[in-house]
Amino acid sequence: MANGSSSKRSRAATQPGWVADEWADVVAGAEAGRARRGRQWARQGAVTELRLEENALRAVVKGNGLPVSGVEVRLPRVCCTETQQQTLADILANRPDWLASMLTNTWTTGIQEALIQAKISLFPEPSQILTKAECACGDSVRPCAHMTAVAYRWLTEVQSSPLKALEYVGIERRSLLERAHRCSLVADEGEATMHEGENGGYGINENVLNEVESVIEGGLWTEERAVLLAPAVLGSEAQSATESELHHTLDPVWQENRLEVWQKRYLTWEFGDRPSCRC
Amino acid sequence: MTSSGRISQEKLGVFLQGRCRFGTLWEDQGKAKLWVSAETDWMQAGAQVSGLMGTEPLPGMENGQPVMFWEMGGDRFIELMSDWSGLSAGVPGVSLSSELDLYVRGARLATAVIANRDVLAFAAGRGQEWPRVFAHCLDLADAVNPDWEAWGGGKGVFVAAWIPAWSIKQLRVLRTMLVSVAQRVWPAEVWAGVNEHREKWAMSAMERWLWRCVDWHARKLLGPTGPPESTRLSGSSFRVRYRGEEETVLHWQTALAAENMHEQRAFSADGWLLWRMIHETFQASGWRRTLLCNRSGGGHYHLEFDLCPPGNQLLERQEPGQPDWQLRYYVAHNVWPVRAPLTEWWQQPERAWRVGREWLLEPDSWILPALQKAGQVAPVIAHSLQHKAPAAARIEAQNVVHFLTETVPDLLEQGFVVKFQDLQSVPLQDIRIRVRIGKTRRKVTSPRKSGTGERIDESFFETNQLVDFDWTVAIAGEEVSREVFESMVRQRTPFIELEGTWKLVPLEHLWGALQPLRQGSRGAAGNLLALTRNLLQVEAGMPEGIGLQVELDPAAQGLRETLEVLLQHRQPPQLEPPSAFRGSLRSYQIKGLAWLAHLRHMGLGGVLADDMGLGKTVQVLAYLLYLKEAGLTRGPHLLLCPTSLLTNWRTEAERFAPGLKLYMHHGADRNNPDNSGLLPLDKALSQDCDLVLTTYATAVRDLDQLTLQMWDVVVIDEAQAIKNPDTKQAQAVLHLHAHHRLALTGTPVENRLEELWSILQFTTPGYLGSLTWFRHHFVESIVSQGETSAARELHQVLQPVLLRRTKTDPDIRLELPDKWEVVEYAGLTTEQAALYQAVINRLFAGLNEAVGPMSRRGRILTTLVRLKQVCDHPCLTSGGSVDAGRSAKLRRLLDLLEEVVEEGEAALVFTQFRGMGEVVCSALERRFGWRPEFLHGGLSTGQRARIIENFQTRADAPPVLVLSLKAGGLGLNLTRANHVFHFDRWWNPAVEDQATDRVFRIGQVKDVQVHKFVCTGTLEERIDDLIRSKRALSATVVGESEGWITEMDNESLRNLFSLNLPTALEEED
Repeated sequence: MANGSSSKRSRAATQPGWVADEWADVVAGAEAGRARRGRQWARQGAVTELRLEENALRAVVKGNGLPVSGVEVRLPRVCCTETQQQTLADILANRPDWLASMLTNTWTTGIQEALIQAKISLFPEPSQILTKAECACGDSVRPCAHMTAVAYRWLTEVQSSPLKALEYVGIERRSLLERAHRCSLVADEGEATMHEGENGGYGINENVLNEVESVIEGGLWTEERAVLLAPAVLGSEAQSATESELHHTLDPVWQENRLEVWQKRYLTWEFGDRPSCRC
Repeated sequence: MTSSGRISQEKLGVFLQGRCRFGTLWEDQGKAKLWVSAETDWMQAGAQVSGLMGTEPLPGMENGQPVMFWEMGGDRFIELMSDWSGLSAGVPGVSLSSELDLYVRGARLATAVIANRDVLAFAAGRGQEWPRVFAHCLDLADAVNPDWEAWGGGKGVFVAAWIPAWSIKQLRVLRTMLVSVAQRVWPAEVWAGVNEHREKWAMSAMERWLWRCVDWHARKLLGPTGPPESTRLSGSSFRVRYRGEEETVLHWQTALAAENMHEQRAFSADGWLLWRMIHETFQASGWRRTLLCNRSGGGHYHLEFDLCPPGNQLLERQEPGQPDWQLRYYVAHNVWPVRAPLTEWWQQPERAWRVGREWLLEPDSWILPALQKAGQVAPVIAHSLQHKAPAAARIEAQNVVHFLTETVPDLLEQGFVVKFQDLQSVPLQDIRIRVRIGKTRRKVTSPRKSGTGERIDESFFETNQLVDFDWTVAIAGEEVSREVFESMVRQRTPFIELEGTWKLVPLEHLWGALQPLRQGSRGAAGNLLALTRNLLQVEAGMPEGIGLQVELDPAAQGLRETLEVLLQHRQPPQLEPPSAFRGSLRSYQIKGLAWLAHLRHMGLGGVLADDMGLGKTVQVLAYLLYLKEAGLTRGPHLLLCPTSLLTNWRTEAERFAPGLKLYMHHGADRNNPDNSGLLPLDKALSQDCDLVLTTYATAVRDLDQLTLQMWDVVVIDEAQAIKNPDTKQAQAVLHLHAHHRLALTGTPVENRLEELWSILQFTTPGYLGSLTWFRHHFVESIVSQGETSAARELHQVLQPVLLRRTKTDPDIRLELPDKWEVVEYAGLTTEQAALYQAVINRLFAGLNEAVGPMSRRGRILTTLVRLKQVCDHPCLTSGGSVDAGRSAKLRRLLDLLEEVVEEGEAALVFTQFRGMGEVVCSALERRFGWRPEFLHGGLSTGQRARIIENFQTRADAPPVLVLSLKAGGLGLNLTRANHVFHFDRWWNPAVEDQATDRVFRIGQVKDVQVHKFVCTGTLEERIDDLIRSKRALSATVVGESEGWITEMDNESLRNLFSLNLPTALEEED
């Protein structure tokens, strides 16, 4: 199995199962019974409070035959270097499609390719597990069933989210995206000319941006106009709570005589701009 | 903001600034301060502001500047801002700072919330901190099992409030926008309470302002005390479920309805009950983190794709050929018309991007996945995602159509917005195919072997001269060169930019129509004739609406008139009929004459294919006379016709064009040299003979002789004689040398289209291409597809060289009388001539003996009958075979009837002789396979009625009916027929007219054509002339019977009866 691991890593895997395979290698050394139990616990949801800590992946395994407080497990984390992070960001900036896959929580060969290029390994070496993993169970055999359980549990997390996997190796989502964005930055001059003079290409007033706000103050902004003057908004009382089937809420009951005065005073955009409105 | 503020300040006088501060506790109503700079001249407008405030301002300091300020409570501020929001033009003379302005807009949004009743009844423990309350509200709806204790439960004092429910999307997005603006224009000190992240406190501060405004307005509308509590509760939809709930609700309601005063808004209640109700209220509201806290724009922005035609791209790295199109990516708001190109995003140093007034935070988190989703249906988008900073995709011009038709619908289906100019098709009316004809070169003509064919004086227009041409397509005035157009087709880029918009060009239609020209342009420069044909093909192939323009370079201006006539079927200039022509020409015949003359001018042969009876002979004779009078003749003309028509031609020529010197190259002794050793033909030619008449059969035999001569015009009558190009006749005809070749036929196509090719191969060699090409191009498609474009194309192509008028053409119809007569001339066979002579001899031998008057009369009448019978058919007097070969007249009748039958028309044949009637019936049976009925005096009334009934009503009855003149002359209605043949003559026009009227009567819908047969050189011809000349006279001159003939003296009789052998005799081949 250990021999197989290196060959698997170099292989250009096309299956999302690639991640699972790699992680399987991590706990491959587990004794069969412990591995089985661990997998079972993971499947049963016995692994709780799973979170990344400074240097470890921490979780508490709770379940039948275990102490009520559970068994605390710490698996070592992999830490990648600043250079690796930057390289990965740069690669992703050049491949927005790979980045998009990450954002949609989809493992693709592209992501794998990026990781390989950045020389980032998402997985701890089996030896690390043996040496650095901690478990409160006291089992002398390593990895113990609890560690296996946490590893399997983490595997399911990682399988559904590449960014989670990166988090494990110390690459925060936000920082990765910020780095990638900075790498994507386009020099202003060259591209700016490209869009010069194409304002409002299809009758859309992009000049909204340039409204001198104080000059039109008091008046309605384009945005307000779009919302406040849209018939769909005003007069959409069907949407309001009065008509709903809620039986446990308090609904406003406006005083009709007041409402009329109020409307004339405050809904002036309606009365002013659209003389023929509901009254 | 301040810079723009200063502009306003100068312009509008007072620049009002202001701020509202809230305390840490959520129920705090806030304190507001408004100020104007004390340094400005605020006094004049200040009074107005003071009026609004209700108080005088106080001096103070703000930002280290002396100011005049007003202070007020939060409620008063809300009222002020709300009033301001109602003043769409603001307060004159007062402008607001951006900061203050935003309060106004918040108040305005709050009124919209109120107007839509999108509010929730809410309460939270008194003394709670605002951030906690707000966070809990967000938790309330999101969490399945929110922790009520976190809300600060238990029994206690609560403060009631109306808060926005945010269940209406439009209001929600406006809120988000205001939050975004608040982050920029509201200083951090507005919310001094918690040191939060800037983007969080901005939302927090705006939300709080909105809450306050909503609550304030709601209370205004609920009234000071409200109706009695019990009624209100029962009237509402509230259902009490727990003990103590009713009490809690009542307290809550009272607190909610309280005036905008602090104390009354608080109430005591059971925290859990209250929380449970609020929790339920929130479930149905818009209170969701995803809806309210998402600042990335993911929920209320979408991707838009603009398909931009090339042209306004400044990038110049285009490959040659059609420039690429671009699909540009935009982020656009779902509700209001604001959007920004994605290029801008890639220029933002941080992951925040201002689109319109709103700052989108980390928008890539939804933009990239959205692009990827689009890429799944649009490969060009997917491809763009493999490169840094994708903001557009390049679409090669040849893929644009595919993109529009295949990809765009998929994108739309996925919910993306794709904008593109509606690629409207160019209206066909705006498309012109423009053919420019350049310089022309005269083709070197190889001299004919006769050597007489040199071009001399006549301005012959050479249609075989070579022309250079090029074509372009003009689309709405925009000229597209051939090269560009060809590349458009090659690259499948059917669009063109017209005045800034792109339009679809119906390439396929045009390309198909242009096919003929493209073939022409490929090979050697074609001659004008070929070009003409190609142009006509183009015209035929063009969809309705597209125009064909032919332009001539200065060098080719001389072709203008010619081309116009050829292409536009414009009638050539009218000609005066030659003065030597005896008789009058109908106007369509004059047109025919002009057409023939014009063809000659252009060096084109032609086919005159008028319907039978429209006078093709007359037109040709007029044409030949015209040539003579105009001095254009360059030699003798040659006319070929079937033997049966020779006599007719000669007679007509003598009658209508006596000025033409004829020579009949015909007969057994035609090649017998005279005393001086000259052959008759050579002799005739040497004596300025104008027209040589001969038959096809003779021409084949004497081809060597005929090809020695360079003829001026060679006319072939009944041109279907050469319909088969492999026959000797056809081959022979092609060998004749002529300046001008004409073919006459009433039926240009009898059976196969190839016949047409064969005829045109004589008149205008090469015009219809090779036989193989013609078959491939026209015959196959016409035969397989019927009346289609190929047929139309052929029709069009034939326009210049084939003139066909039918009797049913509206123009012709007007000119033709409803009934018109044609005299059909026939000669005599040798046998007939001999018999004829014998009868005359016998008569005069007898007359010379002294006989009594009665006997003389009887002899004359008998002779008259005999002669007529001889002219009809020899068997009537001498018995023997009824074969049509023995009677030239019968053969002619059969030929004419064939045409009638082919036209699908019907005919009556009248004869005086019952025997002749039988002969005609037999001859028809032999020729057509069916035997017509013969109506004669020997039949019973019933039989006659049956025959007439059959002929009139049964479609399968033979289209010919033979009648004896006496039996059929009166009372019958035979309108099925529209041809009447008077096979022999009753020398009384009235009798003939009566017979004719069998068909020309009510019920006849067609024009009636009357054919009267006359044997030339016999008494028939002479009497016909007589009748003709005396037609105008009354019947007394030409009496009812033929008796008047008997009164003639012998000399007159001799003149009348004598046989003019040269004209009468018709030679069998």
